[in-house]
Amino acid sequence: MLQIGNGLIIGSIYALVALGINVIWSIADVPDFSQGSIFVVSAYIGYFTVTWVKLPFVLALLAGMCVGSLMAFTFERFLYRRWRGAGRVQLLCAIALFFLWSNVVNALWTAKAKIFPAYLKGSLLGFSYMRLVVVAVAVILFVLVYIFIMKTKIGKAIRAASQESEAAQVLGININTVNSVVFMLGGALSGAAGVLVSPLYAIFPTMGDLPLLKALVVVILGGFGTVGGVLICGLGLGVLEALGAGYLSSAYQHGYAFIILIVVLTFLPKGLFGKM
Amino acid sequence: MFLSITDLFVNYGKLEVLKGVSMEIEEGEISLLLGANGSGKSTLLKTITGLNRPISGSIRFQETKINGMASYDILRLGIAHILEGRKIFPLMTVLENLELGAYSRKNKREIARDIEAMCERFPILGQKRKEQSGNLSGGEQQTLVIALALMTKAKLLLMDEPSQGLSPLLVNEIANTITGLNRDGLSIVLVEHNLRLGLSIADKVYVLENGKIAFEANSTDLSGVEYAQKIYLGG
Repeated sequence: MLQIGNGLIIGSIYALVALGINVIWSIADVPDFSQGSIFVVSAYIGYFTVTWVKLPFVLALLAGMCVGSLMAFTFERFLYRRWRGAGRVQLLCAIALFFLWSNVVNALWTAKAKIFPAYLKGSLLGFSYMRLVVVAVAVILFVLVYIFIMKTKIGKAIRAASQESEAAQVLGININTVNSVVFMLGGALSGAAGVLVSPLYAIFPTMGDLPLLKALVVVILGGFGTVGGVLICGLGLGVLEALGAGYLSSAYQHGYAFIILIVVLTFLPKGLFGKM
Repeated sequence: MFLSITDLFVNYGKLEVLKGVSMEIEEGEISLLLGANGSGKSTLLKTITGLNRPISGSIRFQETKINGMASYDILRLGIAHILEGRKIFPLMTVLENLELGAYSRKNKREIARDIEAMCERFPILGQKRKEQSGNLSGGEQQTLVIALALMTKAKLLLMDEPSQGLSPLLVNEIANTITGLNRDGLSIVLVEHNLRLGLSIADKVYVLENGKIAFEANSTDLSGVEYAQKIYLGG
């Protein structure tokens, strides 16, 4: 029970980052590694909002999401957009951004881990409220993104552009706007994930590496599928990892994701929910 | 002049595809664009609707210079484009597809009315409006593509290979649809490999060869037909 619960908590973090990467990948055709950097920077922004500016956690979460959104918007507008259609160059940009920001964060805030002060005390069924907040916020964000993608006009444009980009353009959809929106959405989600996870673990410059890798696994496992598919894959991966760590060996905790990835892709090359 | 293209040069990477295309399209006509595979027909259409950028030359639509404009602005001026290969949005319903056709329009009541009109004009779309469009048959998808383009309320419709992969019966149906649209006042530029279909409905024929318009004539002009046959059959 405890293992499953912990798996769901870390799984919702994977799912949040994965959702952003999934939407961006389907539109801009690039695995945006910079979401890992956004995750880290937002965690620090959240930390400083609470410790320096002394604002409540909710505002720290919003601040992290705004900064994440702004970072992703900037990366798209001034870097990825320039190389649209040149997939390899975009991939190099993504990798470069990831390492660049890893170093920037290290230089700005040193490698020494920072501890996010607890903002909620108490627990329910053995899980601290702060852990439960992670799952609750993740689920709320997933519902909001689902409504946004399925019901709004720009959401429909995003879906259309991800299915047939040129046909969408000749029907009047502005592909630049769609790109800006999906990157901002992705940045906000990774930012939220970064701030949400901070009070549970320490904050340090490489804290985004594993969530980024796991999120990429979730996206590929899900087969670039639907919003719901990403959520199920994210939570599922978290739970399997936690169960593996609990019952098999915790030494391989971070390896299970990749074993699952290899097994799934061997038998289902399109992923679990793959439609594209 | 309705659509006027002057000395258009377009490259794909380092490959020169169009090398000085000039043509004048009249309002209300069906213009058939012929040419061998890889002669640049699709490239020309894509350049007109802003999906490709020309190296030089100009494209004017109703006296407005449109080369260099974004696709969504060109659509607003009144040029719709049916891309090669039945490009619908397969994971969306027929209804959602039709709504996307009206993406650049504002008046919701008018859009709803036009969707109803489209479902009446093409009853199969009305019957399957809630179905995912990827599950439609080839002919139904082609009908949807045409309906999508009509939802834009364009004045000029560029059609790239609408008969591709359809059975002869459906090809006839498409031909009837195209002439019907033209009768309703829509101007059409048609790229079509099916010579019989193309020539039977076109007013004018253009042949694209070596990146230029090598020949143009009225479709009733027999020499045009012969020229086209020579291009296709090498005879």
